[in-house]
Amino acid sequence: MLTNIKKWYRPHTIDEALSLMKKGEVIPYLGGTGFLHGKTVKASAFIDMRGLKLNFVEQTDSGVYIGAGRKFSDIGKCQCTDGRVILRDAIKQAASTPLRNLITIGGSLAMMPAWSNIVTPLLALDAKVEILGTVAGTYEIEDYIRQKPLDGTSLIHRVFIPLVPGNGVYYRFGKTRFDYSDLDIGVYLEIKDDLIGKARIVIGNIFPKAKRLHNVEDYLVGKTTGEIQLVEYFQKHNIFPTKTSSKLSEYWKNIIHVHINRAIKEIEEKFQQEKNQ
Amino acid sequence: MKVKLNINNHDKLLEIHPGETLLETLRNNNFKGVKCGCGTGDCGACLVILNEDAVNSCQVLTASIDGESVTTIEGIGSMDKPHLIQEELVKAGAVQCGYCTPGIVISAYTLLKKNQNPTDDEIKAALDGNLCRCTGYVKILDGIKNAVKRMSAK
Repeated sequence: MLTNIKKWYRPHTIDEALSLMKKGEVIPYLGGTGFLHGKTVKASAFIDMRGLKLNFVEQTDSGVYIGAGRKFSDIGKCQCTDGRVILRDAIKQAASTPLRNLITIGGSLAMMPAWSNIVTPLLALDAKVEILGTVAGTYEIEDYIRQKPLDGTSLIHRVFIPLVPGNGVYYRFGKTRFDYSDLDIGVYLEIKDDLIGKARIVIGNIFPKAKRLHNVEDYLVGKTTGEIQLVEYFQKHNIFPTKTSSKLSEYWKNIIHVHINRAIKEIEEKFQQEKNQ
Repeated sequence: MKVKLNINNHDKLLEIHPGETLLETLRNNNFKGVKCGCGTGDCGACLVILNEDAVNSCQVLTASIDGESVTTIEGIGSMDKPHLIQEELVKAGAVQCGYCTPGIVISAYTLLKKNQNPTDDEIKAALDGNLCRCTGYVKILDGIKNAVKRMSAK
């Protein structure tokens, strides 16, 4: 029980919700799992967000908008075959089936719980986060993670994923299936005329420490997959997980090398299969 | 505060604390088949069906589901009239201490409602939020697979 919660508000518009948040000590409630884990919240009231209908998906010519209230279980049902498989596969491995029926993409980005898996795929897909309220704006996902702009009087409205016509792979490593990931990897590539045209490589571990490896991406662009000497490249450049026990860092470094290499091969195979169809 | 819930096909008007979990509300109202295990959403002993999906009732605030439908284990089967999933779990020897069993039945029930011919991997995935410290899971999987066979034969 969250004993400090005294009241619930049930607005029907985003403006109503934002004006309620200005009262202070009022927090939007979507899936709720992030609040109950800690058994306490710094608020005396919740805003029931169900009336705002934020569980939408909108496909446009430039990409897809996912409403903040969209549940992980629904996102995991995506029938996509393009780069969005990175997000789908990451989300399907987060937490458990009953928890995914509660966890929302907006709540996950706002609370940043360790079990979420959400940042690595969103970085690999170059997503944007649209926020409404006092810090309103569309934030590049890298800026959102760095700035953590939510201030108590703003809320996440939706997440934008631009068109990702290439292919992607997501790997996750944890002590057990249900445990937080110790390391996750997202790789997105666009290959044209056998050359890598666009590359986004992301490694993360305990949320929200994921980061894009821009130097590795620059190394990959313009090469054929046959030209890539990733092991040698990694030996020359110190690329480690963002936060790992120093005793295990060599182990994780090797896991990263091997799996980025494996991901590139897997994507190339998918690309060749599509080419031959 | 007051909330309206439909529990096991019965409309209820309940007086609750605004910070009360669904697990607490259900147990306070005598739905004792819903078990409190970890209280953190890890073990699955408290699973119920919210509308059509299994959820951890310890991770849901009752006030957040005002007006919605909840099915507990009492709404699926009883001692006198067990559901066939319950019968098959018993036959397979999948019930030892039994504390996790209501949650496992809820997981299997929601899976079979949506997918009447699940693969072994789909059954395992549906049970990924259920911990059992007695059986080692093999007998639980056997029981659910036998329930699938019985349902297909009907």
